[in-house]
Amino acid sequence: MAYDIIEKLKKEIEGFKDEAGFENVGIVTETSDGIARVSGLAGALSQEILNIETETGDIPTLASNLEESSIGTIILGDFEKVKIGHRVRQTGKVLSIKVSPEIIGRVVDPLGRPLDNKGVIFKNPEKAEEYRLEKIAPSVINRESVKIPVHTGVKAVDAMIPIGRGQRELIIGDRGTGKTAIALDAILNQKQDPGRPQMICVYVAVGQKNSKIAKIIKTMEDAGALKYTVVVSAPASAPAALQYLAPFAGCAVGEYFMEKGQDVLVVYDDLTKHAQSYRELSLLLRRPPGREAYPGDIFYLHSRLLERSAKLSKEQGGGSLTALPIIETQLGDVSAYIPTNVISITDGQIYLESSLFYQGLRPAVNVGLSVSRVGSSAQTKAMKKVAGRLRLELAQFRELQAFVQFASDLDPNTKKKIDRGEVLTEILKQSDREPISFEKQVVILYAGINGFLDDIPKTRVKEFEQKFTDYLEKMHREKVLAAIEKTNELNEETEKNLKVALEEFKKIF
Amino acid sequence: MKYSPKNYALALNQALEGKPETKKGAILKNFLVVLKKNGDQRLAHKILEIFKGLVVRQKGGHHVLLELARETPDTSTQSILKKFGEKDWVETSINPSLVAGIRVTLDGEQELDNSLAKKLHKLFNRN
Repeated sequence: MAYDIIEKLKKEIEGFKDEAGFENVGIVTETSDGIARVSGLAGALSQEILNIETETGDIPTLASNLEESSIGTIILGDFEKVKIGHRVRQTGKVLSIKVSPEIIGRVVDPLGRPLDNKGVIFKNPEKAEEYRLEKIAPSVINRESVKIPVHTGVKAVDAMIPIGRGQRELIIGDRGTGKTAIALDAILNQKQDPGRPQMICVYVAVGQKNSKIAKIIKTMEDAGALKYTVVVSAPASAPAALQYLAPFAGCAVGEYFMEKGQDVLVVYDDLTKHAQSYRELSLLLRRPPGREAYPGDIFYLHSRLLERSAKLSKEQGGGSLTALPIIETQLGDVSAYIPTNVISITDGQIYLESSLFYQGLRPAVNVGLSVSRVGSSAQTKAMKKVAGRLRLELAQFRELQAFVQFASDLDPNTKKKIDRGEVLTEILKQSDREPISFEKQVVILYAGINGFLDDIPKTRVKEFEQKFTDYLEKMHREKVLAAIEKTNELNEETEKNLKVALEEFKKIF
Repeated sequence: MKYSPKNYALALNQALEGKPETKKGAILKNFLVVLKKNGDQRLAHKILEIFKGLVVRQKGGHHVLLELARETPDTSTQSILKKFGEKDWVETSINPSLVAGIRVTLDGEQELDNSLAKKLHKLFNRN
């Protein structure tokens, strides 16, 4: 073996040819905190990868600021090794990530390097394709409107804030209100939605704690979700450059599968930290600061990223890329700079409120402030049938709930509405990491809005839900659950069977 | 007001332009005083680099940096220097990190690297 290695090396050295000639060269004139200023290289392109020749090897750097006499670059490696005077050379390549189906199930950094100790990603590197991190979003001609739902497995979301494949739905809320939990549930639920094509999921962690990312990966692994998920990780310990690139890398991975005709769900967790890392880089690159010291192009940073989410037309393969960006607010302030920017870019938002969270309403979705602008057209007929009334009942309940605080005597009709509202609120409560399949959501919401749970004590609603779905699974799988799953409808016959099942079950509950 | 190195270099170049050799010394001295007064001494190196560029560009030549791996006999250096014209601003320096050979940099933008260090770097950083 040693002989083979030496022979191979000998041949390589013998075959090495190097002819000296004039080459373009740049020289590092300044370096600090992941940024290098380079003189020369007048022909460098924006977003081109340049190589800094250090004593320990080449370090890639990204040309970002093309100025009159120098180039401001973002170092993509160990910036402590870069010194003034180091030579810089052009590569002619723009930043890209290698993607093939082999990347599924892996944890990678924004440059596509594996972080999971599972060895090389591509056993067939020739089949992998280079996908640019920065790419222009699909044009209007290549798109079509969303029509297939993304079922998150969260009852409150699927019923009242439906998301369609190709949509961008923002998850916004204070820290610790369950934003990541909803996104994670959406990923976990993709394995139990057989009525639609399997989604490929991409989880992009930006500036998150390493422990949190490890926990999320473990959860996915335990639930079997890593089989269809790619994790792009740029934790809080990663340089700002990698945190800035992570969402673009995640999007590029998603685009690969979208262009192959598949449906992709990308979670950007979170864009607040992404904006902060971009602010750090921009200030170091001496770009003029604007509001909250963010650079002038902070809106464009997020809009060009989220515009890449699309539902492609049939001619383009019919794939889709759904984005679930996450934004963390401070004390519920949705009118801050970054939240308002992203709210205006996305097709709706799921607003999580800490007061609801501490009241025990989990997921703490504020139904009044949450909205989905395009998702309803993708909602299944079965869900539409139950969700329409659910929204109305809950709206009435909320109105009366405020009223009740001042009035002691209530007429039976108002009392009934309040009781119904309380039951529905109980139904919408759900533990995290327990996504419920769409057909089970339909049956339990049907039971709630049609008064089948009105005589059940609030404390037993959860138990009823659990036992009833188990009962349906065992006794009425074909007639009810499978029928809804297959047709996506709650037709007369299925509804009749469901009613019979509910009446039967209530006798034994 | 803060001045950029480019502004300083342009001003110095214009101040020296067309002046007799006898007065150039005094102008340079005044320039250094202005630099000190403005607290911009740290820019001196950058200003000098830009100034060199301006001068050679005016003459239509090149700023040539000749780096040698080690001390060489004067005759050898002179024979290399003869290759360049009068319009060029040629500087020589010893750079042991080249290991062996020579490196020529033109205007800080183009280089002809015939050093052993470059060849080794290429050999070990081949993909």
